Amino acid sequence: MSKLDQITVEVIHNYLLSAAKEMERNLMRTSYNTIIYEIRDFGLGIYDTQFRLLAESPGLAIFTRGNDYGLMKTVEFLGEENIDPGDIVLTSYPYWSSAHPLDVLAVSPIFHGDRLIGYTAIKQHWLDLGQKDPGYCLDTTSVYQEGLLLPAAKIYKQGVLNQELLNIIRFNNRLPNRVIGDMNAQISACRTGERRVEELVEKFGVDTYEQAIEEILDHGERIARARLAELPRGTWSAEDWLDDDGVDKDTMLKLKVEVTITGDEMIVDWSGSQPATVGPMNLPLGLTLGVSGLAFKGVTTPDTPANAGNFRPLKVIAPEGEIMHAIPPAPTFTIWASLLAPEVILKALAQGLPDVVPACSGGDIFDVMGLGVHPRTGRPWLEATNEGVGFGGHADGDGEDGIMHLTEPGCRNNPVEVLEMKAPWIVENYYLRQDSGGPGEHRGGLGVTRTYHFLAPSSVLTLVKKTKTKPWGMAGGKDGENGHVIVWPGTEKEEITGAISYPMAAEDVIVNNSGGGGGWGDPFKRDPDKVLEDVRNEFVSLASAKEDYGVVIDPKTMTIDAKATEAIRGKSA
Amino acid sequence: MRISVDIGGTFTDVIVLDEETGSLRLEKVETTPQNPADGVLAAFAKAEAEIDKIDYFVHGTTLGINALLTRTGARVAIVTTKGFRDVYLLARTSREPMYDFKYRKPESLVPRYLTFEVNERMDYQGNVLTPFDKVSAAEVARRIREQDIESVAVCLLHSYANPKHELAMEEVLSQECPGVSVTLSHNLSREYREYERTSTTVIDAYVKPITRSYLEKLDGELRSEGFAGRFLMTRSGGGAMTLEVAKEQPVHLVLSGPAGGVIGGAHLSKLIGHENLITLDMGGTSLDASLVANGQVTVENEQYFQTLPISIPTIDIHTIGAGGGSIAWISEGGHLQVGPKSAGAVPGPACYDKGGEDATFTDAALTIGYLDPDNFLGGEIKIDATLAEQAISKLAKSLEMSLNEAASGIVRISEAKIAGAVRVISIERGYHPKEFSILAFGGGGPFVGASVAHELSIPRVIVPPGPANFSALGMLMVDIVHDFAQTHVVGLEDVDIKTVNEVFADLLLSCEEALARDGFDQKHSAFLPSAEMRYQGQEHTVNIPLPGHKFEPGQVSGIVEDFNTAHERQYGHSMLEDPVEIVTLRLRGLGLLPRPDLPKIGNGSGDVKGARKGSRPVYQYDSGEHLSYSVYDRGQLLSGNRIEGPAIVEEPSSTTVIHGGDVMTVGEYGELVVQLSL
Repeated sequence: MSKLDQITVEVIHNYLLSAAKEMERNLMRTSYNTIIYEIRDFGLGIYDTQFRLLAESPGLAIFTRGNDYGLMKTVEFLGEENIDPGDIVLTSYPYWSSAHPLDVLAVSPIFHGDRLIGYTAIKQHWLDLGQKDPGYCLDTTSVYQEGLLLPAAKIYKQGVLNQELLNIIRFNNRLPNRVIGDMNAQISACRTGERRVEELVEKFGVDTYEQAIEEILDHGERIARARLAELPRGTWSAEDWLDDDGVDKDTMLKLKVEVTITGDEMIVDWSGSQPATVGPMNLPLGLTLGVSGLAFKGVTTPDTPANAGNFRPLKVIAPEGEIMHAIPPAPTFTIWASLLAPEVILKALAQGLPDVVPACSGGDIFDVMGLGVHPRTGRPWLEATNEGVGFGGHADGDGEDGIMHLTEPGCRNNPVEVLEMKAPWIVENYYLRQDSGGPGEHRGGLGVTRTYHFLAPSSVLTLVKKTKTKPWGMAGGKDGENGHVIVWPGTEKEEITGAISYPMAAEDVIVNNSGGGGGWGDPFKRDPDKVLEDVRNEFVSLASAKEDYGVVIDPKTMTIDAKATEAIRGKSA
Repeated sequence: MRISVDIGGTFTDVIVLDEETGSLRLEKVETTPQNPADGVLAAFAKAEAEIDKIDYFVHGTTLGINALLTRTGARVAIVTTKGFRDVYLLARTSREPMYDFKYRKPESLVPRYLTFEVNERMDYQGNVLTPFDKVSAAEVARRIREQDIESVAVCLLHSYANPKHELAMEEVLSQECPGVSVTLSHNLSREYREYERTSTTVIDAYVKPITRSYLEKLDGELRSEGFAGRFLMTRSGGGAMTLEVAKEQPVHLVLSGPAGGVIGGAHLSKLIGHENLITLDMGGTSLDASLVANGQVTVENEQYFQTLPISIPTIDIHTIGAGGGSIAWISEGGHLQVGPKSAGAVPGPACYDKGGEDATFTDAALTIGYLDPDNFLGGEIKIDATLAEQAISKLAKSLEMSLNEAASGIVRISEAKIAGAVRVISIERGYHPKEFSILAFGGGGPFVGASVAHELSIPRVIVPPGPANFSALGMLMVDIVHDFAQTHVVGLEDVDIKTVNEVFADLLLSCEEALARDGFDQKHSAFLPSAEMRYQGQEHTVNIPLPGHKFEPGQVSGIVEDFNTAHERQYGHSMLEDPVEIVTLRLRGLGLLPRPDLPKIGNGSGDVKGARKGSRPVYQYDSGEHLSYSVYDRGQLLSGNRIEGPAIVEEPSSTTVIHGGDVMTVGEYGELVVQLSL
C-alpha cells in the first residue's frame, strides 16, 4: 500500500465509525421499547464480507461481540449467492445468533452494484416472540419453550416486505404492535448503515475500500499485540459461581477458566466448567467468544475503537456440550453465564496482573421487570430497568459507584418519572447502598437500592443470578457486599432472594439491592482523609471507617482522631 | 448605534454598527480571563464607541462554561424528594467508553453531603401523595445555612406536572436563607426525567452567583460611563435575553458561545437569498457546525456539557476538536491522527514561535502553501514557516512520508473530520447537504469550506464579510426570545382539543407576561408554537411546528401528516397506521427588535486585476504536485467581481481557498460566493 493511502485509511475509518454512530441514533430515536431507548439492550456494527467487525457503537458489549458469529452462521445457512440487495435477514436461532431467541439479529447486506461488499447487523431485544412466559423465561428446559425461532429468515426480499413472515411474527406475539414498531426501527437503522457504506465505497472505489479495511484490521491487531507483549506471561486459573440454573434452585453453577498469556496470544480455556445445565443458563458458542473478547479487549485495548483485528491474538476453548458451548436443544434463555464469564477471566488475571485488572464489580445487571395490564389504559404494559453496581477498586483508584455492569456499558437506568408514568407502580426510593463497596486502599464502588411499590395486580421478574457469593476484593482489598432482592420486606412472608418471577398484588413491595465492587489493596493503607471524605458523604459509615479502615472519626467535629487511628492502624501493622 | 462584544477563549471580538452612516467597525482585543469586564470596556475603547449613543449592547460571554470547565462555580446544595438523594450522583449509570472497566464519571458539581431531602411526594399527574413537610424543609434550610451555601438547586420528583412543592421550598429558603440564590427545576424545564432536570437545575445554580455579579458589575460600569441603551445577552437557544432574565436563568448562557454565528447566519441567509445554510465556524481549538433551514436556526431540546445534560432548547451545534491549533500525532499502531488536543493560544502552533513544538493544522496549511507567512492575521502576527516545517518533518520521518505528504495528510484528515461533523448536523437529522450552502467563518472556516463542500457534494460556499468576527456580527441581529414548554401527553386520535388549548393559553400567557416585562407590546411580539410528537409507544419525539397556538379540530389530520413526513425525512421510515401522540407543547415568544441594515459594498466590473496580489504554489494532496494559486486582496474586491479557481483570497484574520474549476463571485454585501464544480 502506498504511503499516502494511510491518510485515506484514516478517513475511511472515521467514516465507518460515524456510520455506526448514526445507526445507533436512528435506532434509539425510533424504537418503541424502553429496553432499547433507555436501557440500550442492543449491539450493532458494520462488517466486511468475511464477517469481520469494522466499526461498532456502544450498546450491550456482549451483543456486539457475538454478532459476528451470528452473522457468519446466517450467511452460511443461506449461502452468500442467495443474498440480494434490499434483503433484510432475521435470525433468532440462539446457537447461531449467540443470544437468547428474544435477542433477534437483523442483517442487511451491503452491495456496490452487483458486488457484495459487507453487512450491517443489529441484535436487539424484542419484547415477545411467543415464549412460554410473558416478558422473560427463567426456567425453560428446552429451546422449544423459548419463543419463535427465526432461522435466517428474510423479512425483506430485494426490498419487498415478506408479508407472510410478518404475519407469523405478529401472530406469535403477545405485544405485536410494539414488537413490529421496534423491528421497523431496527431495519431502518440497518439500512442507514448500509447506505452510508454504499456512499463511502461509491466515493473511494471498491479496491481502495477493501485495501483500507485490511489496514484498519491490521492496525487493530498491531495495537492489541503490542499491548499484549507488555503484559506478564504465565498461566492462571479461577472459578466463580452463579446462584442456580433456574430449575434446580439448590445447586450453584461453576464457571472455571484457565488463562494463558504467551508472547503473542492469550488463550482462554473454559474446560472444566459446569456441564450443560437443565435450566436456561447455557451459552451459545458465539456468546462465549464474545464475552471472552470483552475481557481481552478491556485488559489490552480499552481505549481504541473495536474491530476484528483487536481479537486476532485471542484463542478461546469451550468444549461442546458444556455450559459454555450449548448445543441444541439446550435451553439458553437467561444466558447469565455471559455476565459472570468476563469477571472470571479477570479473576484469573488478577493473580498475575494485579496492577492491570480491577477487583470484581457488583457482578450482575440487577434487572427488575414488571408487567401486567395497566388499569388506566386497559392495555398490557411491560417496563424494566437494570441497576448500576459498584465497580471494583484497582491500582489506579477507587471503583465507580452505581455504574452499569461491565457487560452493558451503553445501558442506562430507567428514570423514576418514566417508570411511574408508564406503569402502575411507585418507586419509593433510589440511592447508593452505604458500606456496600469492598474496603481497600482503593475502595470498591457502591451498589444501589431501588424500591418498587405496586399499585395494581401485576407480575414481577428479577434477573439476578449472583447473590450467593461476594464480589471479590484483590491485592489485600476486601470483598464487596453482594446484591439481592427482597420481596415483601418487613412482612411475614419477606423473602431475600435472587431471580424470581412472582405475581404481585396491589400494595406489594420489592426492593432491589445491587452489589458493591471489591476493594483493591489493604484498607489500612487508605489515606485517612479519603476515609473521612467517604464518611462525610455517608458512602462509608463511622463503624466501617473504624473497623475496616482503622480510621477513628469524631462524629461531632467530623475530624480524624489521629491518636486513636494510629493506635488501631499501628497495632495491626 | 449598536455594539456587540463576543468574548472568546483567546480574543474578544467587537463590532460597532452605526446605522446612520452604515459604517461597520470590526476590532479584536485580548480576552482578560481574570476580570472579563475589563476586556469588555477595553473593547468599547478600541472600537471608539460613543457610549452614550449606543441603543443596543449585545453581549456573549464564556463565563459560565469556563466556571464549569475549571469547576470554579458556586458552592451548590441540592434539595430533592425524600428517598432520592442520589438521583444526581447516579446520573444515568451509563458510560461511553465501552471497554473501560476503570471508568469514572466526571467529577460531580455537588458532593453527596450537600444533597438534602425534603419530605414530600407527587405522582406523575401532579397529585400530592405526601404533603410538603414544612418542618423537614426548615431543617434542610438550617443545614444549608450552616454549610455556607451560595446557591440552591431544587428539583423535586414530578415537579414538571405540579410545581407547588418546589414553590413551597422556595418560600422556606427565602425566609431561612436570605441572600442565597435559588433555582427551581420547573422554571427551567417542564419535562419529565428527574436526572436530566436535576442536572439542568444544578448547572444553573452553579453559574448563577458569578454570572450575576459579573453582569451587575459590568452594567454598573457601563451606566456610569453614560450607557443608556438596552443590555442584551445571547442565548444558547437562539436570540437574546435581557439582563434581568440572564441573571435569573444563566443556564441559557452556558452553551451560548457559538450561538452568535449561527443566529447571524440565519439572518444573513434571508438577506443574501440562500435560506438553507450549513454554518462552519472554525476557531483556534474547535470547530462548530450547525444548520439553518429555511432561514431558521435548528434547535435540539437537550444538549450536554461534558456528560452533563442541559434540558433547555439549544441551537443544534456539533462541536469537534478540529481547529487551527489542533495537534497532529501518531497513534501506537502507526497512523497519523489530528486533534482533539489543541496547542491553544499558548504555546500555539509551532510557527507562532512561542515555544510550541507540536505540528498543528495551521503548521500544515502553511507548509503546503495555503497560508502566507507574511500576511498571517493581516500581518499582525509574525509566523515562521521554517518552524512549521521542522515540526511536520518530525512526523513525516516516522511516517516515512515526504514533508508535503505529511502536511497535506494533516489537512486532509482534518477536513474529513469536519465533513463528519457536517454529516451529524445534516444527514443524521434528515437534511440533504446538496440542498444547502456552507457559510464558512471563524479564522479557519473559509480555508476548509470548499474542501468540505467537495467531500459532501455541497454546491456552494459563502464567506460572509469579516468572517473572523462573524459571531459578533450575528449578535447584532438578534430578537428577544422566551421559550415555554409543558409536558402534556395526549393521543391525537381522541385528542381533547379544549385541554390542549388550555395548556397553550397558559403558555401564551407566560410568554406575553415575559415579553411585557421586557417592554414588548403585541405589535412587536411574535409566537412560534410547536408540538413534540411521536408514535404511541415510542419515547423520542420529533418537534413539529403548528399553524397556530389555538388548535382547530380541522387541523389535526394535517398535523399528523406533517409528523409522518418529518419522521420519514429524519429516520427513513414512517408508520402511517400507528396512532400519533403529542408529548410536549412548546411556545417560543419573540420580542421583535428593529433589524439593522448591513452596509453594502460598491459595484465593480468583472475586472479583478486591481485586487490581484500575485500567485503562489500549493501542494495538492491528490496529485502529489504543486499547483499555482492566484492570490487576491479581499479589501479590493467589489460587488460583481468574479474569480476562477485555483485562487486564494486574503484578508486580515482569514484566508478563503477556491479550488481549480470552482468560481467565486462577490455579492452586494461583500460576501464571497464560491460555486463548486461538482
